[in-house]
Amino acid sequence: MSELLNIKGLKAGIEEKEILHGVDLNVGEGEVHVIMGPNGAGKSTLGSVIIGDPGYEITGGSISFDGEDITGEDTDKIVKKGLFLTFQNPIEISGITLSNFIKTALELHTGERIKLWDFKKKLKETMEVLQMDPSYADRDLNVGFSGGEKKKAEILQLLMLRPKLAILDETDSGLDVDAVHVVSKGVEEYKKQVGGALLIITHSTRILEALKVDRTHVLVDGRIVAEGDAGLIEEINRDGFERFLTA
Amino acid sequence: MMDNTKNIHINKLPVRTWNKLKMNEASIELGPKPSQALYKDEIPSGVDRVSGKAIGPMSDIPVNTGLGEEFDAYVTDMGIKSVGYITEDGVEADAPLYISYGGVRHGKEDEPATDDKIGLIDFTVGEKSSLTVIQDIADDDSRGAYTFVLQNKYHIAEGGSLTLIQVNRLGKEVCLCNDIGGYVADGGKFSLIQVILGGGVNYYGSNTGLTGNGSGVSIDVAYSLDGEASLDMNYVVDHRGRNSESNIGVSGVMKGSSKKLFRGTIDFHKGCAGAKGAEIEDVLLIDDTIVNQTIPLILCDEEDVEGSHGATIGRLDEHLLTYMKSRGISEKDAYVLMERAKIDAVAGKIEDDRIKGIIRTCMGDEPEAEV
Repeated sequence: MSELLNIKGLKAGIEEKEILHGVDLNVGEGEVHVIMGPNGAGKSTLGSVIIGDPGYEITGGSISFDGEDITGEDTDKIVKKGLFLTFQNPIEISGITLSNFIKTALELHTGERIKLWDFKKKLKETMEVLQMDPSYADRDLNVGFSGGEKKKAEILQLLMLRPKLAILDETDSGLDVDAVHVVSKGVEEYKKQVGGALLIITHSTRILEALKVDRTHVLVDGRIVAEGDAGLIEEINRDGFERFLTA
Repeated sequence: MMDNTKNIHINKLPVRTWNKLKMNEASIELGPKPSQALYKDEIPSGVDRVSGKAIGPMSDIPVNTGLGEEFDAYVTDMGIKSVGYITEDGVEADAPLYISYGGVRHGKEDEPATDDKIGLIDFTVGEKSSLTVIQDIADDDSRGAYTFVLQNKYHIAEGGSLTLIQVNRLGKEVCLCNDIGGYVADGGKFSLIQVILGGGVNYYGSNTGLTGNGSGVSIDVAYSLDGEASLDMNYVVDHRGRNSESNIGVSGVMKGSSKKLFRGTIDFHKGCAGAKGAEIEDVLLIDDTIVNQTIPLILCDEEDVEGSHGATIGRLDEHLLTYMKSRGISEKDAYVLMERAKIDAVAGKIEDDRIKGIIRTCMGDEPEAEV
């Protein structure tokens, strides 16, 4: 697989506090990588820094995506290259419907006006995959959505925007078994339809059950302290992070 | 011509504040004899059109209007008859009363009219009757600068309800004086929805007399101001009836060198025990060159009441911007999207597809698609 995401010696933090202390990570096209680690390890920070969240400052290292250096670029420009991040707590936006939000994002990604009929048809089909009530399309984005519906709305955007690499940040957290199943099905669908790469940030493994994991990375205190194949997930499930914390 | 114009003070605050702020009132020069604005109306069954004042005989209470006494006197001096629409008691109109000022010719085919216009309308809603009125305020064949004076007065009888929806899509050189006033009897309800997408200089005023016990008013305004456009507003609710309720919500976006002044007054008069009133304003500021002024006012001459006001004024929240950017929506595009959201939030309260379609077209949307 050719290289898609290449992170070298990444150091980043917030308000002069360094959180990532030199992270190296490579993700190839179509690969599935998992980032695991205890709370406060810097997993979500890593996802945010990759997409250029202005709330974080990069103090060292570099990030390249699809052969281009994206270190310090504006978020909207980075994601248009084919990156996508699901949020743990997606924001509520009054006045903008889910449908209108996705259509706007799609048009800005493609630079072309999308026919409303075609868009609505595709949206309806995709919502069916995620077992979403079609009425959610006309509701204000995430306003009054349950935790599960918010996560489904994130996966819906993933399926509609079809990025080359999706970073899933704790997408399965706070969901009941049925909701995890539906979200997992959506992620599978992304792999099947788009064949894109996945960087899955989690400290649970339920969402991984239906995926073939290529590489697992353990992040502790802002550093990747261990790497391995899918077998590492089983070890963490069994023994927890203790071995890595004392390493 | 200038000698014949009249300078009048409008949108006066009920209680004056520090004069230096220049928020106590607005002044305007109006021509001596505007011509009657032409319009098309579509009258649903259950509604009758009458010539002359429709509300006069029904009550001895004088109707105050938002633009105020001087403006009302100016209108009266014109000697122009108003058009009245009446619903009898117990009638629920089966469709909206649609009044359109757009596309109606005043002058000869090749001579666009540029003189000032005036339109006076009265509504009387009978007991336990219900009426929705849609006013599409658009340019007729006029071009360039002119003044459009529009005044709506109403009386809502016991248990009646009137919804007045106004969409302003006038040209950028037009001055609109949009004056509203009326009163609501026991258990009656007045709903005002205003979407302001046009007009260069806009004066909006509304005065609702909640005279009846358990009467109510809800006012929802959305505006988009750009360039040199201005909007001077004065919304007054007089709570006189017990347990009367009012809600004023004004939301908009300001760009360029636009100017906006919002005056919102909730006046609890003695005897309106149990009354509740709330006003809230939400303004999205896009450029640093705008002028944004706000003066909420709650007057209280009765102890057992609840009054509140709140405002959200500023730029977009950082978290919201980051989320939008994470979907490829730049800061500039995010502001455009939020501008539409503010209009949509108010337009969404309208149940008529035709006027909603007109609003969408004004906002550059495609027609709705069924899948």
